[in-house]
Amino acid sequence: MSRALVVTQPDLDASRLVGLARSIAEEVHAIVVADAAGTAIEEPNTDGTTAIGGPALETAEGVADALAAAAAEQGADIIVLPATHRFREITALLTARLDGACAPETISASRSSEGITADRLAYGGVAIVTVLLQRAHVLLTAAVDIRATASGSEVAVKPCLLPMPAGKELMSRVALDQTGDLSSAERIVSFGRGVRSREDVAMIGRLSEALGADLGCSRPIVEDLRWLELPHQVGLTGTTVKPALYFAVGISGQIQHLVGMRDSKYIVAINNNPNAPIFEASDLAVVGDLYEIVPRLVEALAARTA
Amino acid sequence: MRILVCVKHVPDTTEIRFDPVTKELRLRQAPTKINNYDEHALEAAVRLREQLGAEVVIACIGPEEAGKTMKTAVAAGADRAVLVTGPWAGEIDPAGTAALLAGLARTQGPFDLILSGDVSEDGYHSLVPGILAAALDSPFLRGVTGLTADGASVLVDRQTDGVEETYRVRLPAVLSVSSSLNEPRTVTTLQVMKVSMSKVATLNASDVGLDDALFQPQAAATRIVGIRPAAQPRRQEVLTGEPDDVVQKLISNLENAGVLS
Repeated sequence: MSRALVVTQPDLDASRLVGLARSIAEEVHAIVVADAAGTAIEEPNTDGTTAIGGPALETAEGVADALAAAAAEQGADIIVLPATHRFREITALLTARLDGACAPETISASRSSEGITADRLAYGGVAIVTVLLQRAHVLLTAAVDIRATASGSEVAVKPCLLPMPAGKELMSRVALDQTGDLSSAERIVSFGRGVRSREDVAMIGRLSEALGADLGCSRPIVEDLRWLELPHQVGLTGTTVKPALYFAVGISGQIQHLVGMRDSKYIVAINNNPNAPIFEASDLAVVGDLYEIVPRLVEALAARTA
Repeated sequence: MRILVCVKHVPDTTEIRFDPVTKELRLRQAPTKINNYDEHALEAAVRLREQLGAEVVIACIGPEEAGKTMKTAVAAGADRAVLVTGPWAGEIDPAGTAALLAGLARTQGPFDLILSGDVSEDGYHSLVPGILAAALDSPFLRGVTGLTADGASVLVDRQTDGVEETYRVRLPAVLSVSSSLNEPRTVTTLQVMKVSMSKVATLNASDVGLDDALFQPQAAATRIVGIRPAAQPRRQEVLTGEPDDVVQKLISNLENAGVLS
């Protein structure tokens, strides 16, 4: 019998992780990495939830140690983790601790006669690769959402008594300005390298206003050009979003971006390259010059509401 | 201070396409280059070298063709480069790459600081630096946005899920860096051509104390068994033509989808 351990934290919605675990394991347990002083609730659709907390869990090394111990204790051969920044660090360390086979950012998993396989995006989002996981311990990660409200019976947080890992000392921790947090936005207009100059960002801003949308962007806009701050960045190294309407303006559609927005309900892409990978992830593919389309669209939207 | 910078030699993912006829991924024809994310790690190392007089060594696990990436890295300011290659080079998985890098670090080191980019452009696993840190029993941080050397330790800023943290990290340490850490210097073709091949050592697995057999696809932790075009269930309508027509059609599509306010 195959037993899965779903790893989560109190503010995450782990339902997708539980679903992924259910597709390949008979029994699914959840483990909540919480604050020692905090509370945790029972994870729905699992066969049991435990919660751990304590100072050793401040570092990724400490969490990896605690999860390796929990996997051994519960006899879990499958570990499913959130694909957040914090857990990416933990996932790599846990893979090493368990000598496991890891498939990050999986879309789906299944069992074949050869073993467990996972599908994941690669090569700039053009391809889905199927990976055979050839170790006794299998680790999968998948995108998760922030949990809106938590309800259910409370689980006591067990203090984790492992020693503090040596070598890393936290000097300060500051919450980043999350104004304009896109993870819960209903409509988003994002732009990428197709926008040629910083002055033209105002034009995209007018479109987002006309649609009642928040402004997002792709990685190069924040990291290379620094036209917008990190909270606006959609993608693997930014925020994962799932609005009802997502506009991708002048974004080619690298995997970095696609993994951050592919769960949006309705996706419109505007790009002058008919072969741009973004079109394959879109409901509506608008092939044309954004400098011709966007101003006309702003006008037409204004006329519509006038 | 001795710094090892781990770089990956990758296909240019913007040039990868599926052949519509054969349904095969046109990987072979795609041009190859240094992984963009790793260029930021290299830049950080070269800046430390300029400030403190560190030695910077480049490490790469990949095909012989990656010699080109090695020369580019040396031209950007590294002292020398070490490429480990073998029959597994085209298919090696992240755990195998990390094991070979650990072998390289042990045999060519010791190193005080090991740097790489947060992810690779082709595989996007974001696993190698963490597995390498665990193998060397060194502290690990990813998402590094600031780095200052301070004697036997480094001060590291990093961003993760809505928080910015500052750590003091004891050396030796493994760090993977965010692209927002710095702006890599540009390297001209002429500078790359001037790099002597004597600065690039090409080794086998046995040279770093490991056996080729460990890295064959059948023995690896993960093995790619299938590859197909990403599904296109979404693509329902393509709008093209005169901008005014396109905009009108676009608005009626949005209205029909019920996504306008």
